[in-house]
Amino acid sequence: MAPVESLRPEALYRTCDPKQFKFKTTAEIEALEDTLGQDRAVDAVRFGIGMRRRGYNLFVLGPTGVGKHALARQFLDRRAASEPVPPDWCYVNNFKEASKPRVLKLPPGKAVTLRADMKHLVDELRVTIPAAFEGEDYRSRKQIIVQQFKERHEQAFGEVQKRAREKNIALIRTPAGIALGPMRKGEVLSAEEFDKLPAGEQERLKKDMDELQQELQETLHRVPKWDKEQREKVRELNREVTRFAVGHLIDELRGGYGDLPNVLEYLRGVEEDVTEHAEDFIIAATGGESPLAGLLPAPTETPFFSRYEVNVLVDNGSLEGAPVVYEDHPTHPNLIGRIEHIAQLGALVTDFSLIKAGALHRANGGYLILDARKLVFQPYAYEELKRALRSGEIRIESLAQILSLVSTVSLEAEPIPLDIKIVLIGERLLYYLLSAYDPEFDEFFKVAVDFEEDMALSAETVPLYARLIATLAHKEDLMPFDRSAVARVIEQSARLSEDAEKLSARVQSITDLLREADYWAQTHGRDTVAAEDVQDAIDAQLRRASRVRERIQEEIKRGTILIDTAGAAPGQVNGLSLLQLGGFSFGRPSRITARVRLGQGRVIDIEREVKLGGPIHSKGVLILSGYLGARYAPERPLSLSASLVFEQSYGGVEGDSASLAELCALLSAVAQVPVRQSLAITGSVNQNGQAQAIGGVNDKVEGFFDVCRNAGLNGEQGVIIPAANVKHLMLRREVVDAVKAGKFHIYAVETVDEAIELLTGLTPGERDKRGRYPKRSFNQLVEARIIGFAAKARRFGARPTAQGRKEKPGAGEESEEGAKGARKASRTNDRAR
Amino acid sequence: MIALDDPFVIRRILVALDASTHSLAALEAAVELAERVEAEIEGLFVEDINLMRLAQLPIAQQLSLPSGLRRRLDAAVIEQEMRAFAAEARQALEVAAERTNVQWSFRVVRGQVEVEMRAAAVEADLVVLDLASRPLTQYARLVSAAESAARLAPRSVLLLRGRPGPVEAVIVAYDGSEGAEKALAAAAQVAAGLARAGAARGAANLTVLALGPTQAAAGRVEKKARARLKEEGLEAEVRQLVKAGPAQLCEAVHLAGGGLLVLDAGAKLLERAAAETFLDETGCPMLLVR
Repeated sequence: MAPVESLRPEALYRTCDPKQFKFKTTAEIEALEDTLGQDRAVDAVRFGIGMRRRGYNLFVLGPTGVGKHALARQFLDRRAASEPVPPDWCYVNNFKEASKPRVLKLPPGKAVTLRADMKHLVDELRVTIPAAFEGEDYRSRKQIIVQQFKERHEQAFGEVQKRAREKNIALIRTPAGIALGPMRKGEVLSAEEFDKLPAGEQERLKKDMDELQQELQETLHRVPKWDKEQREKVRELNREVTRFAVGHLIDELRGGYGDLPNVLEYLRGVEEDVTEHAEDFIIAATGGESPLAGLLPAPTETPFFSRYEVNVLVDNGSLEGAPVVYEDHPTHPNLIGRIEHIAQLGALVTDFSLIKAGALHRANGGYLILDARKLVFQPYAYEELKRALRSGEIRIESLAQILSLVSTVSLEAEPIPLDIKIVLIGERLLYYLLSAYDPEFDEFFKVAVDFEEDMALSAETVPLYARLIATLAHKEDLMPFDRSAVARVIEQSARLSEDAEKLSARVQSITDLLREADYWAQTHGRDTVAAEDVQDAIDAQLRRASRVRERIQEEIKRGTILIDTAGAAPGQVNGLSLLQLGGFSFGRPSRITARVRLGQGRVIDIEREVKLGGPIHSKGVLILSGYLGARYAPERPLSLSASLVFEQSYGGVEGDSASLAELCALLSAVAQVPVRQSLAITGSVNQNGQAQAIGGVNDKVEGFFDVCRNAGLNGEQGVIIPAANVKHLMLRREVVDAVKAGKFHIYAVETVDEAIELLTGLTPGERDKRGRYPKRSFNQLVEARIIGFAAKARRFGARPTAQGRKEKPGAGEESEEGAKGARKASRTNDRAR
Repeated sequence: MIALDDPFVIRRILVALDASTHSLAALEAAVELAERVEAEIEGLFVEDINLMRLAQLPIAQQLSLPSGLRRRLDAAVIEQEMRAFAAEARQALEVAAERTNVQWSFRVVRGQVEVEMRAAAVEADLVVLDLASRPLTQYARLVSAAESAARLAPRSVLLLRGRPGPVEAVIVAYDGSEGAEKALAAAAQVAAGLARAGAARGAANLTVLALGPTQAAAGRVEKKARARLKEEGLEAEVRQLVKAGPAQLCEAVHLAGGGLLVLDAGAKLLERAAAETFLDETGCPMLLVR
């Protein structure tokens, strides 16, 4: 096995050559209209928008900053522009049942016209109706009715009076009624005079008075009926007069809505209602004094004419296609609409004019974009949205009503048919959670628009990416970027994607970089943005975010955090971990140590024991036992116990990216071979000892480089990474330069053996035909120690102690003497083979 | 001024009240008028002897209004009610008269209403009568307005229905008869009084309704009226009214913008229930001149 060479500087950074661009600045480049690198998402959006079936709503998923909103908006706007403008909607009074307002559907722009027409009609009626009632015709017809009843009254009572006179009985008005008494020559008889009358005469008078009283009573009983009859007649006359006065005005209005049966029906209702309520128009005209007062009911408390208003819920008159609505605060009422109340005499009241539209109303017939996270965080909003989608109609109900929190007067507004496409935008996790936990989710959101986080970096994509940069610069009103700046942005994009062969699709991050580079160019007094400005922007970004990183570096330099960059030590390896704080991540070297002793083949992960290690880290450590046993003790018990720890780690450890380092530490401890502290190592390992790729390789390498630089670069230092990670390398210029100068090294390894060789300087050694490792090879040392442990364990097993106890795991570390014994045993064993 | 043998002068106004009176509106209107024309006012309350006697009869009964229920008529209660009403009327007159500095007197007499009122009327130049006095029903009364007014002959009568609004103009019905001439003279005087008091509505606060059975007759009456007005140097608006009935009269008063309607007390126009109709419809007061 040839020793692993340090990687060439060219492998550490994929340079984007500015010379490949034919333009001088981005001002010369044509803008990019299509979305770059999101072919799958674009196809899904196209399909989702084009599919007009129920349930084919879209869920646009992907990380923040990849342009989900922009893409969705761009496609929806384009599609909506070619679609018909949906109808207007308004609520009007239900004259038969005011608590159930009626909904009217009108062609776009017509709702506002109807509202104006109705206002005009009411204004006209307020003049026309009082005028009709003031006319001579009405007066004389009413006078005839009154006269008719007057005569009826006079005649009825006149007859009683006449009979009373004939019978000499006086009718006298008293303060409380009417009294009857015997009379002579126009005077009522006194009590004495009456007493003097013959008994027969007295009886006759009494009888006559009784009869007259009876007659008068009967006449009085007929009076309420006559009054009612008169009221009815006057009312009928009023209706007739109103109908005549109103008829032509409403007919005129009908002309404009001849093709809208629902409006015609509403106008019929208006006509009937106006006819029934003519008195309110008269009261309004006379300032409250009705000439018909007494015959008519008192006016209501609310302003009367508002009953003829038209509440325009949705006016699509100004649209030139289907609506695309983005609701940034999708609360229940903002989505579904709400019914407001006003306080009146201490009570909350409402009517059709207080119904307010929600986003569903405004987007009806078009598209509604919502942030999935905001939607699910708003109480009942998501549920109500699904309910509306399921029922295909918008039914306005307040939350208080749904939850029975208030018991005030409310409305049952007629629901509005819903034809809409919902576009939810959210992160992937939310999509998968909804999909897993909401059984209805897949029914309503059948189209997933999944965004890529990166795209291939190739000869084809680089010019397109340059156009993207130009487009963003133009959109953000930034200075033009010269080609060196474009190249630098592209390089940084690859770094952002953590891959030298990829470009980041996080448009947001790129836009931020462009804006900041523009700022630095302005600060430097330039009129185009150059590569230096981009670099300044990147450096400033790092500097702003790197407080914690710098503190860690400082503490390593000061020796508070123990990291050696020179010398050698057994069972001690510089591992590399990645710390993520907010949106910033950086590599931090960690000392990983391993200790071994006689035991039962168990590798103790101290992080796990104290619950600081995550499951993936534990998995990595368990793989080590597998590797150790299979490689060095396939046919013997693995009679050692090992403990592994991340020194000075006080937070949790997760991931298996340190498993290669841990294995090296473990093997070094077993073989008791010192490890070079000038090297750090990262990578995961499988049971066969192959090094596997890990994430954050650039940050990790740079993390150790910074430590070495602070300690002083001596040409020995470097980082071992899995070969599979070489393609991800996009290292800082400083690192590349150090490598170029031979002051720092990056080694890419395929196997743990290659890493061991680099770390220990010993040949790992392969088993020969007899299954033996070469003498003094690293692996031979490991195996010998393991055999030694096994022999010792066997001895312990065969010869119980004086107290009758056998060795227990964790009984104590193996002594130097024990180690020697193991080596001896190993030799013995080898010989036995 | 229209020269008359017996000029229409109001120096003493009588307000006659009895138990059937509905309100004290007539009192207030009379005080207001007395202040305008600088007249003195006499309040008269007649305790109806017939009602007192009736209440003492063992067989006397009354029907409550509007329910029609039969109730005993109690003499003590009736007497109490009448005394209370008289006291109330006196106090109202006193308050109103003192406020306006009008000379006043008030007396209570017991007797037959018609006889006592006619006797009192002899002393007065004008009698104010409120027709709102308690009716049997909305339309029916025991005594009609015309009957009430006739009782008070030979005096002029101001008929009201409740409290009228302020009078700003005068409308006179003129058919060329002798009575109509009197009415015209009275109307001219009242109009001049209004103008003096600064209460007139515009310069021409007098409207003459020229009545006639035909267009031609009305035309002739109009001509006569204009001639009479010219003679006296009076400004007035003259309108023809053909075949005038109560409804037409009401309409004419409406058109003229309302005001005090002056009529000859013997005019044919007042036959049947015309006065009630007019008062009901217009709410304007009506002066019947004798």
